[in-house]
Amino acid sequence: MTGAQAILDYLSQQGIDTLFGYPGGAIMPLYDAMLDSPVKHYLCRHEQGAAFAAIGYARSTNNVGVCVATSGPGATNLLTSLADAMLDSVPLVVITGQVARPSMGSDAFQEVDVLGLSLSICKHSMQVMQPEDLLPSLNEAFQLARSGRPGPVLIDVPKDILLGDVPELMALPQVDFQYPKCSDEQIEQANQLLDECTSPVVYVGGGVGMANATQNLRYFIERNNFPVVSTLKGLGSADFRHAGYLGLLGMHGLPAANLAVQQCDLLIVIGARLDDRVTGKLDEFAPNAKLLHIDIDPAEINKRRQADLSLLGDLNQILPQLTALQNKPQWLHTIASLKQQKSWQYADLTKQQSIDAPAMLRSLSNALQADAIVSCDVGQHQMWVAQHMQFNRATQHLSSGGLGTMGFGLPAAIGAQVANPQQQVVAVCGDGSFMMNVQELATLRRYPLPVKIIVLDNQRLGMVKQWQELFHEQRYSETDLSDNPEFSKLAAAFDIASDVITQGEQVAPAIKRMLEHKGAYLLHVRLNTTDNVWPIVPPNTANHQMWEKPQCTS
Amino acid sequence: MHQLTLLLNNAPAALERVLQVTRYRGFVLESCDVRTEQNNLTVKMQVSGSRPVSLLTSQLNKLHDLEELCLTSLCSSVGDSDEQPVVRLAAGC
Ligand SMILES: Cc1ncc(C[n+]2csc(CCOP(=O)(O)OP(=O)(O)O)c2C)c(N)n1
Repeated sequence: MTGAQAILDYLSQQGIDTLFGYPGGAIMPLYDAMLDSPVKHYLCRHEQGAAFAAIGYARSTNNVGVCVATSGPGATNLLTSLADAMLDSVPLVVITGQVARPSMGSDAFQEVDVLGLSLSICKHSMQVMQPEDLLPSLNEAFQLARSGRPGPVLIDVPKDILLGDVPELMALPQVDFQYPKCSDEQIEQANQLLDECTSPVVYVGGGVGMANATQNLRYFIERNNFPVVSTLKGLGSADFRHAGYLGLLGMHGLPAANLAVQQCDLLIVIGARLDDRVTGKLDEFAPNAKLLHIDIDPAEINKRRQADLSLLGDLNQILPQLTALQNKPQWLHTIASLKQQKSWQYADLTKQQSIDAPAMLRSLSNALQADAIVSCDVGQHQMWVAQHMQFNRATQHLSSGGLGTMGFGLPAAIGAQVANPQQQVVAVCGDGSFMMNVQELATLRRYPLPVKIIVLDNQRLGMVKQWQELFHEQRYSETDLSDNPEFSKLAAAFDIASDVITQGEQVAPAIKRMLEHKGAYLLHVRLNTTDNVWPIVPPNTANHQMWEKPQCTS
Repeated sequence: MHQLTLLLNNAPAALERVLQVTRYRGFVLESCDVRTEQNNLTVKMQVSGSRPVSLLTSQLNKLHDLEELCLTSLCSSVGDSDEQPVVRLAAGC
């Protein structure tokens, strides 16, 4: 069996039936073997698009996504997506072709040191230098990608190994990972913290969904009536219908979420890393709180803020042991009135000339099926999605959090739709970001996939414009995109149906038409060029000093 | 200054990874001695930096090729709270 055949055989034995990728010289043997393999390959139109599709596949299923590219430019085109997967802990296996071993190190055609390039943006990277190492390395790559805190693993395979014979793997060795575990004593201390506190808040991160711990989290929250806030990646894990649910916290967090955290005396951080977009000015973040930090990754404990107590390990083992019962009526009353006082007043779209993005996204959220998957790009629209749309599972909200990569939305939606053919998949894109992977419209047409695209077009690089307005004295530099192409014509060139709306009253019927349409669809939504995201916590400011409304800025 | 002794699986790029993590996490390499024995690599290095050294050891601990890590702090730098030898606790996460 050749190396290329062995890779595909291994994948199908593992139940992996989907690959995203792009062919080229060094990886050609694998593409040749694909012709005889049941594993289905999806051709994207850029390696970055292929890897984002694999990320969308992985994030929407909580499974490993697989992506393939050739050496040199194929591999370098993947790097942004690897970094994205690294910072958002996405399990990915990326296979790159490399020039044949005798040519390695000679600046051969399309040779780059992809192993070297990948080191700091992968959980692990390997280069296969002996045919007998191919299958064990691949097997290890899959196990590593999903073990503990997940992440991307790169495996670089020289062309002559793909072409030559490789020995079969008789039994697949289980790699022995040692996971951190917390002691009974620590659990007892945690229960004691829960007992003693008077104003707790649960802070939910992406680790909960990735650990498949949503049920245990919800049980823990409901049983104790905890107020709960969420990071971008945590959205969907806690139940948004829960009385104490306050939504997104941080730089563009909702006022009640940020204020509750600033007031609490115990912050229970679960599967999260106290990222700077969450904490704002670190030494004024949750200033009265003791920190109980629960995570799988020891390196996150005490990284940005000292924990009073940390519990390391599998959330599904830890959460059920936190049995101390909470009942703090006074604090719950404070939370309830905070929530009510700060609740968002949505504009009535039918009475509006222009389209208010928060109201539009809330009505989209209400119109979607309960298991719909929403991906987005990066910028103002991304924050509006996080603030105003509601998700039942973390796997339904695909957003580039840690790296904040423009161009994520469309290819991630493609991967999600491939993985979930029966579910509604909507990509909410910014006009700037959309153009960064717009070539993937060709992928939508090719398969064809019924992804719905909403381009929220403010003719600006809106988030950068917002910062120029607020923090750079309205000196607008290179953020005007008023020369955007006509998006519906662009869609038409790919045989994708489309619609353009400019007024509030058009929103509801346009969403309905879009969702009823059988195939792919692009809804071009024209927004005011001047709208901004509120609230915002200015740089180096404590979260409770957020600017809640436009007038706060003057 | 801190002295770290690492036992690594001698895989391609294992040493580069250690050096990269050290630099990225804000530490300066003061000296380094590397020995190969069959499949293993022993790295003895002295590093300095103003951050708590636990921020470095916890990241080095995550390297898949790391078998063992031992820390001896030679003299305490500002903000250092953990001076006791740290042995590798966890892998694979
Ligand atoms: C690849 C990449 N380049 C640059 C940035 C910096 N950046 C962050 S938001 C933003 C503007 C995004 O504009 P658009 O997609 O139109 O979304 P909007 O903010 O207008 O909703 C830019 C340029 C980024 N996040 N990613």
